[in-house]
Amino acid sequence: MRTDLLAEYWPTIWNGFLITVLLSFVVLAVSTPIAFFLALARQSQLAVLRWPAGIYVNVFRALPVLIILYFAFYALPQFGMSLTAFQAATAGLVIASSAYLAEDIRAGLAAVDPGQRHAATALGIPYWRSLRRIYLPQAIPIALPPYITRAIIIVKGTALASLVAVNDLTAEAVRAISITYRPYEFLAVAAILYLVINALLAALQSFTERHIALRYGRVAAGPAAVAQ
Amino acid sequence: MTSATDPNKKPVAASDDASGAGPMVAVRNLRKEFGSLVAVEDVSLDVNAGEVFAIIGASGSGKSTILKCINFLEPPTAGEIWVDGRRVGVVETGGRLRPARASELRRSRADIGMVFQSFNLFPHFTALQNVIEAPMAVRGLSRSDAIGLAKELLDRVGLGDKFDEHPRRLSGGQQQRVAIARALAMRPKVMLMDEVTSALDPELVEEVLGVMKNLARDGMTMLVVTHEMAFARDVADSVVFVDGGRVVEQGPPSEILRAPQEVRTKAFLQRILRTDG
Ligand SMILES: Nc1ncnc2c1ncn2[C@@H]1O[C@H](COP(=O)(O)OP(=O)(O)OP(=O)(O)O)[C@@H](O)[C@H]1O
Ligand SMILES: [Mg+2]
Repeated sequence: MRTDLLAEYWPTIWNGFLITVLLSFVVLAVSTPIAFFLALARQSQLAVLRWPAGIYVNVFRALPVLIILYFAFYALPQFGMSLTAFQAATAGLVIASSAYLAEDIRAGLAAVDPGQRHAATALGIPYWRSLRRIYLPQAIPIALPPYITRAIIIVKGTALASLVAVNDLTAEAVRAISITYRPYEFLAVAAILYLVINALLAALQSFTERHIALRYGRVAAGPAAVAQ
Repeated sequence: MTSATDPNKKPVAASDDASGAGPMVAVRNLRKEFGSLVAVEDVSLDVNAGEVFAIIGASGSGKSTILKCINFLEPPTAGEIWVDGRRVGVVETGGRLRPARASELRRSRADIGMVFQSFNLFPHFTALQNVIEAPMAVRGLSRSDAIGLAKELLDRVGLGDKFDEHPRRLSGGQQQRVAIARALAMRPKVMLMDEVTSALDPELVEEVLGVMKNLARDGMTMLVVTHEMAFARDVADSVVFVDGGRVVEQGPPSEILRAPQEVRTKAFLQRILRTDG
């Protein structure tokens, strides 16, 4: 273990780590609301919403993320859209991530007993209020574990950004290796730093699950279990 | 939609007398298709204010679909629904008919209470929260007014000591009584009840039927899909037997339940009385 080399390259590694954190955060923060509305659109009664959302979700889940990233970075300038490396990586990752997250969120919404919608509709409660007060509080506890699992996959996926010239954690580790020829040290450090981010996400998951369990009780069981 | 010359005029009941008061609920030539399946065909019903109207029939005969069409939970394929003299789901503007907007449908639905076989209480809300939600969201009641109303109604269905319980801590019979209170909190003009005791353990059925009897005595107009023949006999003013999506026979319970004319009605009643033991 060459700790002197680690110390020498630590500032750039740390920078890469911050960029990975920033990229992950921006991608999740932008993808989540897009995914939420895609999920709603996929459940809509209106074909004009349902169809495009379905096509978006299925197409972008079927493509390699790297192809989408390369498209954003190399192909968009061909159409006169010039993005920085970070912007291109963000755009590409958001497109892919929102398609995946949309399915996780949709599954959570679909798991809510349809009787809840019947009751809310029969009472005349407006859609957005039902969503906020009735469906989401029941869908979120169901959707949260797959959501966090997906978020962890997305964080790992940001490593692909190193292939479109973003100086993220992976890019900096690879650069240090190519100069020092010490793959073991730098790969270990990069791995540990990815683990730190994802351990935080896992902790967030168990915290929110406990919080929701306290607040709503065991919601997922619902009244249907008693009824039948 | 079929022809409707003057959609804002009250429908004239077949049995309408000179007083001019139309039925509280009028169903005209209702038809509902699910794809190629015709679930309900040419059903017409009149339910007068304060009447209890029982719908009986075998599983899959279209009873639930008729109720769901009345509040447009399932939009009818054809036919007309009228509640208290107003057309549901269709609006006339400038002499032309158009489908009601979401907000117009919500206004109609707010006047039509519905209680389900599986209760469908909001599981993350307490009993009280279940009851106050819609009056606040739809009727614009203040929280304190809604709470006052909810406590009165929960008291009325015998749950004065369960305000703060979540549904999962209540028995099926208690949950169903909360669901009835929740529907009543909208001050509906009519209550639609779809096999509301079918999911209950036998010993819990009476407490819910008791609440329904009280409602009937207080003059609530009710359409009740039920397999409780004793309830239909004792409480209903009118009974309709449906089979294959059509009305086979209709009349006072004394006629339909004691002396049915149609073969299919007789067969159904024999079957259900045998299984009831
Ligand atoms: N949403 C739907 N999509 C397709 N078919 C449906 C739908 N709802 C009901 N049906 C069909 O319509 C017919 C009538 O169903 P409905 O639920 O009204 O019967 P029911 O008399 O209430 O029966 P049960 O006593 O079992 O509740 C059935 O054949 C049913 O399978
Ligand atoms: Mg039914």
